[in-house]
Amino acid sequence: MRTLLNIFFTITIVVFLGSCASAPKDPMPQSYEVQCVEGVAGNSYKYLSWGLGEDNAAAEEDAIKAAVYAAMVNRGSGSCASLMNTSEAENNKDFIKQFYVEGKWKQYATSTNRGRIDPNKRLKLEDGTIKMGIDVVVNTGSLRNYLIELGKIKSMRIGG
Amino acid sequence: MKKCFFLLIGVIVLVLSLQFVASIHANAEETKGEVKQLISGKFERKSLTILPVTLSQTSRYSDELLKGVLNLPQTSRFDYNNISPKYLKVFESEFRKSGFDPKDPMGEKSKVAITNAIINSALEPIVKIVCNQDSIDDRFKRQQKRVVTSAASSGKISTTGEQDALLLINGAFIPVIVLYNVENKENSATATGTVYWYRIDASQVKWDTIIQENGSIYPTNFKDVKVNFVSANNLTSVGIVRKKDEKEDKSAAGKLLGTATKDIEESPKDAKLSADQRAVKGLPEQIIKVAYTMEDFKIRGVVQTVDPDYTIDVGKKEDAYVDQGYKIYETRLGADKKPYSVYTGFIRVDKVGNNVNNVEDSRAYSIIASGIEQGHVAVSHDQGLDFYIRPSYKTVNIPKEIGRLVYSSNLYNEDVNSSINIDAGLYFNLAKVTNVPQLFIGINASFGFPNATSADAFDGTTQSTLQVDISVMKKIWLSRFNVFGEINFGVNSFSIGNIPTLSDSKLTIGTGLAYGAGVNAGLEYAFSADLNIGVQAGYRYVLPTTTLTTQLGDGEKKEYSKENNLGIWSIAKLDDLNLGGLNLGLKVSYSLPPFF
Repeated sequence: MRTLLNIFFTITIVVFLGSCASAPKDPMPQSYEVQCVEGVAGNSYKYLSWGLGEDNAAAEEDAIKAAVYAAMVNRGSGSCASLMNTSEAENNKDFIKQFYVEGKWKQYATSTNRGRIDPNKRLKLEDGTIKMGIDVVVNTGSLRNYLIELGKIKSMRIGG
Repeated sequence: MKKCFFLLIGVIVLVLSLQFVASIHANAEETKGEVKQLISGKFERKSLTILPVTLSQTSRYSDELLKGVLNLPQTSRFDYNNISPKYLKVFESEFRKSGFDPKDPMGEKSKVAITNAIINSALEPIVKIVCNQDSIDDRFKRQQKRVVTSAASSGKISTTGEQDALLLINGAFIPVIVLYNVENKENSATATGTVYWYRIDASQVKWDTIIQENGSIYPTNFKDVKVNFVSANNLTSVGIVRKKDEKEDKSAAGKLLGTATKDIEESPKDAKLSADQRAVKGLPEQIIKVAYTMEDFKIRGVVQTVDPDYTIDVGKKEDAYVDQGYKIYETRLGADKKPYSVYTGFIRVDKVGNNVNNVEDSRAYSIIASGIEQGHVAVSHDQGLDFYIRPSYKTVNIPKEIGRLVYSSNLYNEDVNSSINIDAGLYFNLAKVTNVPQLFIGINASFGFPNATSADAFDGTTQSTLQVDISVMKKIWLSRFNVFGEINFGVNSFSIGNIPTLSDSKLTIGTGLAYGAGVNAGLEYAFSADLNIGVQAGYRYVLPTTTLTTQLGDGEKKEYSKENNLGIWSIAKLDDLNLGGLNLGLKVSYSLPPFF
């Protein structure tokens, strides 16, 4: 009986502590609202990317992640092509997740806002989430070379 | 006397109550969310392109008016986007061909005529210059002021997109100045005209853009670019030819009152201008003064930091100044996906950043902070004179024997040792001159009523005290509260009026003005950006009175000195009269909008 009680309390404590621990942060972008604006210098695309976050920094980071995701996987709205086609994106789900977990996306993106907040593009949503729109330039040339090197895309893709 | 007093107190209480309720209501409105519909480009820096025109009777002044536009002193609050004189002439030609009716200049027909003249001649060059590389670079510089949270590395991107160009276009105002008349008098002349404010609306534009080699971007299809009438103002400019030995008054008062535009140094060429030419040339300057009073041209910035200090990205370049207030707004997205802005607080600048050639933000402290965050918009809220009203209780000593100045009986049953007062005054903020935040100079007046019932013999007479002084006050803010200290210097007097005489006129007997000085301190609470309510206590020392005055009706005032009337002083115990003492009051102050 006593052993059962011990097990019960142990499980209760473990469950309680487990519930207290915060869920690991999802490395993937929260927002996928990205608009391709223009090509820059022949090897980059400029995106107006909207990020979501609990504060400005988180929203800005999310916007940059979203822009890289658009360049690599889903192209966003506008006329820029993504580097991966649908089947490549489907086959490389784990790679893409790992790409974000390791923070590799940072190497290919430049925020032209440099942290400056455009008041027309910083919105607070009804639930308190910050939605921020920033201009992000993604170096699609470098990103394409990286993906080709790893064999994730074919080398003759048009666009990017 | 009693009835009048209670009636006055009643009115004061009623007025204060109404003001209090109104302020609470206004404050609640603000804190709940002063919702303003967000319009495209609302928070963007604006630009002006002035289009000058003359009528047939004033056409000989065309060149002077044009010079006035092209030589306007630079102001930092907005950009000038002057188009070349060639286009201005084309515009004037279009204007003359239009159906503008000088007999009904404010009529719909005249406004439409100007709109069409702009569209047919000046719109395209204006849009091109608004989106030129300088404008874009300038906007880009303003966007690069701060690096705080970038998760990626930074690098300069020299191109801009349609959205940037759209914001610049929508921030373009077109004041059209029409010169109606010039009137000459001896060595002066007056030019009168009207400025019609138009604004470009390109929110629905379908972009068919050309990116120029220099990086400019603008629409080539103008059918969706509208020009909307905003408002109109009458303008007057006076030109004076000064004599050689006559100098313009550039006293400290001018600096104290502040002017919207900077003075232009008169060139040798300008020195030869006649009064009428000067008047016409000066007319465009009036546009800038009008612009400073318009909501759209208020200084706009962004809250850059909130901890440890509030900073906003405006400074000397935008003519920001110490003690300038800024209302803060947050842009939110409603459930209907429409953006709107919500009032989140009020801050006041205490250190102006020198951002003319550097990146330096202005520092501010919060008065009302209902959730101010980094990235919120700061819109300047200029304040003029502070008006206050203060019911107060003061200790005095008015000997009962003072009634013997009038009759052979005492004025009161006992000496009076307090009075109920109503004080009012105006404070002028000296920060623009001294750069010391929250330093004021004030002029104050106080009317008091002795806190006692007069003897029957004095029924129908009035007894009152008067205090007039100037003061210097310093406030220190701690969030919504401020503590203030004040020193004052002025004069006091006591009088008995409305005394019946054998003639129809009434007699007033009073003490002469006695000098006094005092100190006050208090605590105020900011109910809103403009309304403060607080308490105040202080002490004032007043020198004994040395003169008496009498006045029959509106007749001449006669004065009697103590040294020649020692007997009266003794009988009325005037040496015991003390108009100084402690005071305690409830203060309500309101910041009036600037007059200019």
